[in-house]
Amino acid sequence: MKKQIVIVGTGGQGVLFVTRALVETAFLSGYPVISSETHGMAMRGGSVLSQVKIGRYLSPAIEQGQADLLLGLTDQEAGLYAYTLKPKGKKIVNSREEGKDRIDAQGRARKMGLARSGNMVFLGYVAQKSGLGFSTEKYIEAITKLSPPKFREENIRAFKAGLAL
Amino acid sequence: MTKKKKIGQEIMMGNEAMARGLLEAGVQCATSYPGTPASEILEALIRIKKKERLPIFAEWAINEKIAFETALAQSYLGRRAAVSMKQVGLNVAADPLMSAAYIGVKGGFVIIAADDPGPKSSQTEQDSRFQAFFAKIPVFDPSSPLEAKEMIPRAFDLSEKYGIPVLLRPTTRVCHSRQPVPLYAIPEADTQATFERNPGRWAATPNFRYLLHKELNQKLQAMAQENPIPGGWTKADQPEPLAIVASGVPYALVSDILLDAKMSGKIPLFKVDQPYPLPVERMRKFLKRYKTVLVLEETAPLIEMQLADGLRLRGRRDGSIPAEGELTPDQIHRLLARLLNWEKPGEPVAEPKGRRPTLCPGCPHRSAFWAIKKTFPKGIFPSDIGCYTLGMNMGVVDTCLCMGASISIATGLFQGFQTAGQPIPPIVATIGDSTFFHAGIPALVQAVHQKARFILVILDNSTVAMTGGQPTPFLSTLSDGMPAQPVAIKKMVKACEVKFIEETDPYDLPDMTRLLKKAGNYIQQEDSGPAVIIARHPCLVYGRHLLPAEPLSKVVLPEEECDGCGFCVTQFDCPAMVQEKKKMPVHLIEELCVHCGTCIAVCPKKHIRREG
Repeated sequence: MKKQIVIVGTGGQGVLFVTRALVETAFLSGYPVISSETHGMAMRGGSVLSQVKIGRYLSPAIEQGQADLLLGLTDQEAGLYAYTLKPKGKKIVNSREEGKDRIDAQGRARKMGLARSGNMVFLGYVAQKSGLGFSTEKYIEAITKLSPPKFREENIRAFKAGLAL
Repeated sequence: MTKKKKIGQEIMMGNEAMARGLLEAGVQCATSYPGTPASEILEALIRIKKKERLPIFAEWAINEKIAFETALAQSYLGRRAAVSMKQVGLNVAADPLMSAAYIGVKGGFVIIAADDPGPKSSQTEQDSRFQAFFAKIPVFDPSSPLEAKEMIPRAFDLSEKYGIPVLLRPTTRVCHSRQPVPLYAIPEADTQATFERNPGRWAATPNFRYLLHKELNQKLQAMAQENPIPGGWTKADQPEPLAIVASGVPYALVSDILLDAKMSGKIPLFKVDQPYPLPVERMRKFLKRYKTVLVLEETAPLIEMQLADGLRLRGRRDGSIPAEGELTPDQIHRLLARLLNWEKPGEPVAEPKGRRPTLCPGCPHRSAFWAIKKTFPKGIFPSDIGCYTLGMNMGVVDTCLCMGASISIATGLFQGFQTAGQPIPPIVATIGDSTFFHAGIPALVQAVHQKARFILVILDNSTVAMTGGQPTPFLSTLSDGMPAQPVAIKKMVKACEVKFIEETDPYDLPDMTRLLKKAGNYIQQEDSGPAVIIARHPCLVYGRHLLPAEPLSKVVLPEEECDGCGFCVTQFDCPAMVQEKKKMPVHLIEELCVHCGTCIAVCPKKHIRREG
């Protein structure tokens, strides 16, 4: 498998956690993987962009118009970074207005009392829609491994809720 | 070193991988001052040290010069030592760096300076490899987290063999990338420390330094001979008109592009691990077979400059590659297409301007800035390096140069107006607590001594928030839990002979405003000097444990009352306040609002209030 994934959103939304969970899932599924992420200044409420490359790659950077998958935690950022996507690439967006490949993960998480885990509801939805082909078990193993004990259960519940949407 | 046995594999961020690499190489001392993209190196190292109860010294210093010198001292004791920092931090440590290159080291001494092409979170895009070149020490340039980890034992070995500091220069893309890396056992640390008195060496006088310089030049020649013709050489079937020499992340980028284009192995590709000192003569001789040699490196043309004689080089110097910014796969792809007559990739899209970074909801700095802006609408506002630089969004940051400069800039501005015989506008400088310790104290001493009249607000949130919440000297424990002597800012300011010192919580806007006015009056007096206000409130992200746990009643902005003037959104810059379109009512985002209530005083119509 060779897949290039761009994940965008704003600081504080959990973009980095989604990135790490996806990287860990790919790793646990036996694929080579490399990713890069935004830190520091850009994280303070600003736009955050991370890149994940699954398969035999050396560099973590994705060329413009070469991403197979764009995951947007916000509508605005998903629009801004649409140019990273291949013409036939897939875009999945967390959006207040739901539609094809658009889900209000944050709103749904809030309704379920999982407001802090909106990103995991989104990841569950992504796991279901992206066609990446990783098993649910590997995702859950990754989330379990990466979550601080306090949020472990909530994150998994949120992920499962997203999976069921 | 004994043969390494792999004990596992784990996904690590480049910085974590380097921390692990240091420990596996038997480091006995690691110091740092936090700065993006390097902060997580020492953070991760301390985490592992605690978990594995390793008897090594690992601690944050108050600035990079001090981090450098204290680690260097441990190298003098024959221990393996490392210091990590960001590129601008190496400027702060430039003084000991230059001398350490001459005087040399005993135990292996590795300096990690993380560069930030782009720049993504820095003041400059400077290339630390040039610092190595300037200081005359060898430098390694990793292309991935894995490689960064693997270069560390090599760097220690080289350092010990030649008795010289060695620089490891990762870039942001290495520091903040993640990939699986193999784990090896951490050797049992040798806790020995021996100091061999040798003033002729450790305290070399100028005359002797001349001889040391000569010795250093000889070391460099020997190291260049030892530096192999760059590895990673892919043999071409046929002689090609083009060869590529690449180092660091650009090597990874070009490798992926060649692989994608099914050109791997068809275009000769040299990988340079150690860009200085290079075996220049041997490389030139070898590269002469190619009509054109493309050099890909970040950020500045270090390899290119060393090779620049008798070869037809393409790179930064002939403009093939832009002189600034991170080298992107798009740029390399287009350049290769041009040089090799490939089909051109599409026109590149200019990177979009994303949302600007902003202070967190409830950030105490926002309240302090608000009070400053309200009290001194015609003020000049020198500021400094940290989260609070984002006060720029609120119009309360006029200058930002480098660590500690807010105070010296304020002094200079005052002196300029005074010398010109002009009225002196209110000058209000802001600096964070960690930045104050880092480089603010000497600047304050000078300001006091020269009776510079300005207000200095020390924004004390009790942590280094910008880089992930590292400790400041305010804490009473060290990273391993051992007791530390806390150092109070107020006493420090007092010891600098400041006569006006006040403390307050910036959440208390009326009090903060009162003190600012009082300070404003104080500096009117001809014979005064700087007035210092310490605005203390713990960081809401990293200092929650310092805050009282009492729940706050909800802050509300009833939609039907808000007339959509947008004053709060444009002036207060809180990310929890959103106005979708002009004139529409502002609403508070539930997940972001921390109910600090600092916005209550901001609404000119008094529509924001606490519930109940």
